Amino acid sequence: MLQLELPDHERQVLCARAIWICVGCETCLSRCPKEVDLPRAMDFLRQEALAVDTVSPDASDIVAFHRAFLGSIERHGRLFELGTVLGYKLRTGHLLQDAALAPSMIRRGKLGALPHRTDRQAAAGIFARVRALKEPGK
Amino acid sequence: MRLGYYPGCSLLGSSRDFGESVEAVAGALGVELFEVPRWNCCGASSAHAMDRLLALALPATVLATAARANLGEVLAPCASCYHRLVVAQHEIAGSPELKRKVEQVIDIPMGPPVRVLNILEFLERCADRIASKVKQPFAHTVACYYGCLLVRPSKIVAFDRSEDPVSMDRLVVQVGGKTVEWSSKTECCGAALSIPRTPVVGRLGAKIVGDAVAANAEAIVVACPMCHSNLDMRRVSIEEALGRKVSIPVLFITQVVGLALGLPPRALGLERHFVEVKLPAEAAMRASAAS
Repeated sequence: MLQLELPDHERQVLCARAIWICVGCETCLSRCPKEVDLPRAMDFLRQEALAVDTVSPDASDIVAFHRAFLGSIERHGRLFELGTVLGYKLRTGHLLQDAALAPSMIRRGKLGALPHRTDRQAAAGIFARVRALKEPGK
Repeated sequence: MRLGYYPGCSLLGSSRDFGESVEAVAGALGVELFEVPRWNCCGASSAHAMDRLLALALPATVLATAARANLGEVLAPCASCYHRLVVAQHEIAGSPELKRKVEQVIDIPMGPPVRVLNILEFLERCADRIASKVKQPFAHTVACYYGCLLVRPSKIVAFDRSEDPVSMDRLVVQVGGKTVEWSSKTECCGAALSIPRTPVVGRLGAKIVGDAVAANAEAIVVACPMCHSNLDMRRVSIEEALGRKVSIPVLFITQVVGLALGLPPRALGLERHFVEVKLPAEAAMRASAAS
């Protein structure tokens, strides 16, 4: 993948499901005798795939999860787990997934009904400035 | 001892048991934890999967806020938070250009460097205090599971040995336990795929849980909220992948230390687990005597 910088392969790589399945466990990097930073390459390829809009349809639920997660941080400053899961369900249509888990999480005090209070403006500001830097002139 | 504290989102929610046990143990050891003021999420896997600048800016805000509050050292018990903070710090320190860009985004100066401690480093540092306060030795044989983010990438986190770490094993032995030799110490649990790819997490967890059982461990001990929820909360998926039931409980290292310090199980969040924490007789008796 890293050696074949041909346009055909680039397309193939950017459309791959594999770049989204990689969770960044960093095992490859820690074992690579040449210290090739594949986790960093994976991050780059994911962001390229988003930028040129070639995300594999097989990975749409994974991307939906990331979007729900980041959306929660942008709104609340901290992760609001219940909101994130609901956001994910709405984005993917997997409405019944883990439905049985929610009551047992609530029983164990592990699923808060409300977001935590923190500096919401600060997080929203960071997201806004990151966007502004990416889209100069807008 | 006074220490900055960055609990992270999980420790207030789905891994409340970890947060409770960290705070209970710190209290028992006489360590004062000062929360980073108005802290935000580190961005976790989602930020670095989707946006590099965001993935640096979110943890950078935490570091800059800690520096501004004169917290020279910050404990980040969550392995993922720890990893994001340390990696962001490393990347920003290595590039003045990146630092300028990040500061522009976070709108506060980075300030002096903050030393980030993971939970194992923190407990190692308290080794003498722990040794002097053990009330009920943790007489169990366990498998210490480190996962990915505490030990990798080894050049950046520079903590323990990346293939066969030993710091958690040493802590367990110090409080009276034994640890097994096994080969899944640093395998991946599947992390954030827990929601979008639950069966993958089930298969990865099956290897880890199966290996721990085969090594005759009574429990798996972890130091990461994501590892815990993938091995504990996702046990049904693991059992589906294994094709059999497995009752081995998963404890946080802070719960192990807390039990040895004689703290009541409830104060350590032990009743919040999905897989019941039932250790062989001797410990159960001690645990009930303590509560």
